[in-house]
Amino acid sequence: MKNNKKRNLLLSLILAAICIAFLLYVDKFQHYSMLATVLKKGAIYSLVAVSLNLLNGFTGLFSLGQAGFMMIGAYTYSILTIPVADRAGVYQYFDGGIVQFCVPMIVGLILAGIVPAIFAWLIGLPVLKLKSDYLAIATLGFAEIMRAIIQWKQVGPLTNASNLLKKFANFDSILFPFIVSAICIGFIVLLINSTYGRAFKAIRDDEIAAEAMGINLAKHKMQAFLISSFFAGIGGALLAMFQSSVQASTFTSTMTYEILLIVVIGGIGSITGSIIGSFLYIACSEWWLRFLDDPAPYLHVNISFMRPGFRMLVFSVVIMIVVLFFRKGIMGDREFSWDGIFNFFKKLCKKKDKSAKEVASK
Amino acid sequence: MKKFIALLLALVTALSLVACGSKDNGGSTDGDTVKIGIFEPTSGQNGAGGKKEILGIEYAHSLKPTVTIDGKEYKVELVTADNASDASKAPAAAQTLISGGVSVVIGTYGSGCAIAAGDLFKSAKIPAIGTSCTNPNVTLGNDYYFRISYIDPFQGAVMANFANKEKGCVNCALIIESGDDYSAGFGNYFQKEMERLGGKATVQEFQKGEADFSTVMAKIKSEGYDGIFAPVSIETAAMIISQARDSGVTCPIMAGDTWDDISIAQRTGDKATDIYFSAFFDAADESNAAGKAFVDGFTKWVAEDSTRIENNGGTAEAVSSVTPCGYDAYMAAVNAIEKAGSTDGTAIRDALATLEVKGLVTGDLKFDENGDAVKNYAVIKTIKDGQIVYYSTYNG
Amino acid sequence: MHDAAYYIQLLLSGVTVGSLYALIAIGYTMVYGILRLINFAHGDIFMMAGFFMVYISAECSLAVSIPLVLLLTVILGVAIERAAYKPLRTAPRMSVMISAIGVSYLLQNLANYITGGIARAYPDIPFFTQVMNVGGLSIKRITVITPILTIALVVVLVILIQKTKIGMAMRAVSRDFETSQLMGIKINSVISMTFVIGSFLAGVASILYFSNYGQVSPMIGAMPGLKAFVAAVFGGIGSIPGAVIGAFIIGICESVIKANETIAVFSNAFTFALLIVILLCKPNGLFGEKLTEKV
Repeated sequence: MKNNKKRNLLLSLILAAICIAFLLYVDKFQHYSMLATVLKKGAIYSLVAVSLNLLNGFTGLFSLGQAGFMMIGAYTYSILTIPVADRAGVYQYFDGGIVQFCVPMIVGLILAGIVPAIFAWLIGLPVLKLKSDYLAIATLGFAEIMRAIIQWKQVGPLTNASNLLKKFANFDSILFPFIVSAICIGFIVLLINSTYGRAFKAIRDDEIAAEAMGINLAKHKMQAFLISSFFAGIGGALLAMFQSSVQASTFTSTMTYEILLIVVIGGIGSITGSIIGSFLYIACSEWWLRFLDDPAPYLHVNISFMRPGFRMLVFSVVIMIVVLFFRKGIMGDREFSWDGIFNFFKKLCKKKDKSAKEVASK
Repeated sequence: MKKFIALLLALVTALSLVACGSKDNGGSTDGDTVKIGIFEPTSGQNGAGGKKEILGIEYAHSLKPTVTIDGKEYKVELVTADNASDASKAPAAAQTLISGGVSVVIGTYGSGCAIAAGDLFKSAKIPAIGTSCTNPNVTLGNDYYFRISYIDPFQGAVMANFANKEKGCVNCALIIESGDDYSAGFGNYFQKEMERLGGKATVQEFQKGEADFSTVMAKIKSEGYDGIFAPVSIETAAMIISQARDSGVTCPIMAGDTWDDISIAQRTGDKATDIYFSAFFDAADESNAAGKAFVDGFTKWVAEDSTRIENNGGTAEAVSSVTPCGYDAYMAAVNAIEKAGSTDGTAIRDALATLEVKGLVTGDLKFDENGDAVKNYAVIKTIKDGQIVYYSTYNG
Repeated sequence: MHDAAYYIQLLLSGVTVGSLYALIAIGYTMVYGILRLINFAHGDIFMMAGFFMVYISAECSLAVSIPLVLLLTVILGVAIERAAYKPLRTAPRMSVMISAIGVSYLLQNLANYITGGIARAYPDIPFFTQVMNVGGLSIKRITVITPILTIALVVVLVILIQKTKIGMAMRAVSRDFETSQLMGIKINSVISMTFVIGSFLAGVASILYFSNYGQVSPMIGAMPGLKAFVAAVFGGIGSIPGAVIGAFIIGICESVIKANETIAVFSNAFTFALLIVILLCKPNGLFGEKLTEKV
C-alpha cells in the first residue's frame, strides 16, 4: 500500500510536468491556434462547471443561477480594472462613468469572487428555503433580474448599461486561466474532503436525516451557495478576459443550461468528471465537430445536409443520448485516481486471460 | 494533497484528449493559397444582411480568385465564420478565423460584433476591413480595423437633416435596441443632430428578442410624435413597420443602412408606406459606371445558382447596398496583399493604411487616419409597391 | 397627458399577451400537477408549432394547415414525453428536469438548423390580422379574438377535468401518483392525455401569437415559456383558473411596464421578481392546494 502511494505521487508529478511543458509549448508556438483557444476556454469552463457541481452534485441544490453570478463577477472585474485613461472611450454615453480608479488585476479577480458571493448571500436568504424545482426557477429568475438591473440606464455610469465593456486588464499567457482554475478547483476539492464536504453530501442524500444528525441545514446550504457563486464569479471574470469584452446579454439562461449539461456529461458529483466534460464539450463544440457545418468538408463532395447549424444539432442529440441512456455521465460520481486506472487495466487483463483460457479449454 | 494532484492529472488527461485532434496550421500561406477570413452573421437577426454581404465578397472572389506576390500567383481561399449577429458569439467566431490562419478579415454587418471582436484581431495582428459596421468605435483606437462604409456621425446627421428638413419632423420617437452598439450609437448621433436643428428625439428602448411593440406604438400615437427613427436589425424592422401601421401610427418611419434589405419589404407588404432609410449605394444610378457594371455582373452571377438566389432574398434582381460593400472590401483586401507583397498581417495593415483604389463600386477608396474610408455620399431610399427604390441623394 | 384610448390600448395589448401566456401556462401547470416536472421544452413546442405553420402553409391552404399544425404539435408533445420523460419515470426529479432542458436545447438547435437561424415570416391569416377602427382605436381583430378564445377553451377544459372520466383520472393522479396506479388508473395514458391537451393549447397559442407578430425565430419560445411557467406558479401550480388569472396579471403588468421608458428594461425581470415574491409569501400560489411533504 505504501509503495502504491509513492508510485502514485511519482506518476502524478511526472504527469503534471508533462502537462506544464505541453502548455508552455502551446503558449510559445501555437498561441493563436484553435488548440490554444480550446484549452483556455476549457480551463475556464472547468472552473465554472466544478462550481456548479458543488451545488448540484455535492449539496443537492438545483440552482440555475450560475450565469448570473458569472455575469456579476465579469462585471465587477471589468469595471474595476479598466485603465482610467480608457474610461472615457468605454463609457462614451456616460461621460466616463463614475468609477475613476483602477485596481490591480489580482485584486480585481478576488473582488470578482467576493461581490457575487455577497449577492448570493442576499438572494440565498429567501430562496434557499425553496424546494428543488422552485429553487431552480427562482435562481434562474434571479439571474434574469440581475441582467436587467445591469442593463438599466440609471446604473449606466457604473455598468455602462447594456453597452460593451472592454479594454480591461487581460492575460496573455495561456497558463494564466489554468493556474487560476487549478487553484480554485484545488480549494473546492479540499473543501469537499473536509467535514463541510461531508455535511454537504449528507444534505444531498437525505435532508431530514442530515438535520437529525445535527447538521445545520440553512447554514450549510448557504455556505455551499456562497462558495459556488464565489468561484462562478471568478470564472466569469476569466471568461471576460478570454472574450476581451463583456456584455450583459451574453449571460443568458442558455449559458447556465450549457454548464449544467457539461456537469451532466461529466457526471453529477464528480470533480474530475466536470473537468473532463468541460474540455470535451468545448473541444467538440468549437473545434472537432466544426466540419459538420461545412457542406463540402472532404474532396469537394457536396453533402447537402451538412450546413451551418448541423453541428449543434448533432451535438444536442448526443447530449440527449447521454442524459437518457448514460445517466451517470463519463465518471459517474467517482474521481480519477491512479489506483482506479491500474485496477481498470488489471480487470481488463483478467478478462482477456479468462476469455483466452475459455477459448483454450474449448 | 493526493486528490489535488489527481486533479492536475485530470487536467492533463483532458489535455491529451484535446491534443489528439489534428494540429492547425499556424501560418498564413498554406502552399500556394492565401486565406481571407469572412467574419459575417449568417444566422440571427442580421443573418439576411450578412448573407448578402458574403454574396458580394464571393462575387468579387469569382472575378479575382488569385493574388500575385513577388511574381508568384497564390489562390485566395475564403474562410467563413458565423458571428450569429450576436456580440457575445462574435469573439468565438473571431477566434476560429484567427486560429484558421487567415491573413486578413472582411466584415462585419452590425457594429456590435465588430467592436466585440476588434481587440482580438488587433492582438493577433490581423487586419480587418469592416464592411457595413458604421459605429465610429469600430476603428477608433484600433489600428488594425479599417472600414469601407461611411460612419454613424455622418449617417445620423444625414437622416436627422432629412427628417427635419424634408419630412418636417420636430418631435421624433427613437426606437433603440438596448445593448446593441449600432442602435445606440447611430441613435445618439441622430438625436444630437436633431437637437441641433431645434427638434427633439425621445428614446424608447426595447430588449433584444422583443416581439411586441404594440405598447410602444400606443404611446407614440398618444404622445403625438411626428416621426419614428428606428436604427434596428432587419428582423425587428419588419415588426416595427407592421405593428406601427396596425396601431394606426401614420408618421414617416426612418432608419439607416440595415433596412436596405428586400426581406423587410417582402414581410410587411402593403403596410410599408412612408419608409425612408439611408444606404451606401444605389443600383439604379446610371452615372456610376463601376456600379452599373457591378450590378449587371452580379445579378447574372446570382441567377446562375439557386442557393445564391435564396441568400439574396429569393430574387436575382435586387442588389442590397451592403453587397457592394462586401465586394469593395474584398477588392481592397487583395489590393493590399499585393501591395504589401506579403501575407503577414502587419505588412498588410501598413499597406491598407496608405492604400488608394480608384473606381470601386461605392466610389474611390482611401482610408483616413482612423482607418475609415473617406465617404461623404449617401443615398436615401424608400419602399414602394414591395420594392426598394431610390428617393434622393445626399452629398455633404 | 394621455387620452383614454391610450390606456385602453395598453390594457388590450396586456390582455392579449396575457391570454397567450395563459394558453401556454395551462400546459405547464397540468404537467407539473401530474409529473412534478417543469417541462422546459414546452416553450419550444410552442415555437416548433410556429415553424410547422410556416412550412405547411407554404404547401397547403389555411383550412388544411391549421388542423394539421395542431395535430403535429400534439404528436410532437406526446413524442417528447414518450422519448425523453417516460424512461426517467423512476429517476430522481433532477434527472427529468435536465432531460427537459436537453429537449429544449435540441428543439432550438433543430429549428436553428432547419431555418439557417433566420426568422421566417408567418403566413398571414387575414381573418385575424384585419384592423378594425373603433372610436379612435385601431384594433387588430386578433386582439379581441385571443382573450375570448382563451376563456372559451379554459371553460371547456375545466368542464373536461371536472366531469369526464379521464379528467377524474387526471385529478386522482395529480393527488397521488402511486395510489391511483393501484386503483387501476392507466398512468401512461393519463400522462399522454395531459401532454395532448398541453401541446394542443400551445399550438393554438402559437397560431394566435405569431399571426399577431408576423414572424417566428428559433429562440422565440424560451421567454414566453418561462413567463407562462411563472404565471402557473403565481396562480398555484396545478390550478387551471389560477394559471389563467396569473397569466392575465403578468400580461397587463408587463404592458404597463413597457410603456414607461425608465423601467421598460425590467419588463422580463419583473415577472421573475413577482415569482420570487409569491414563492416567499404564498408558496402555493393564489389558488394552489396545500401539499404536505412526505418523508
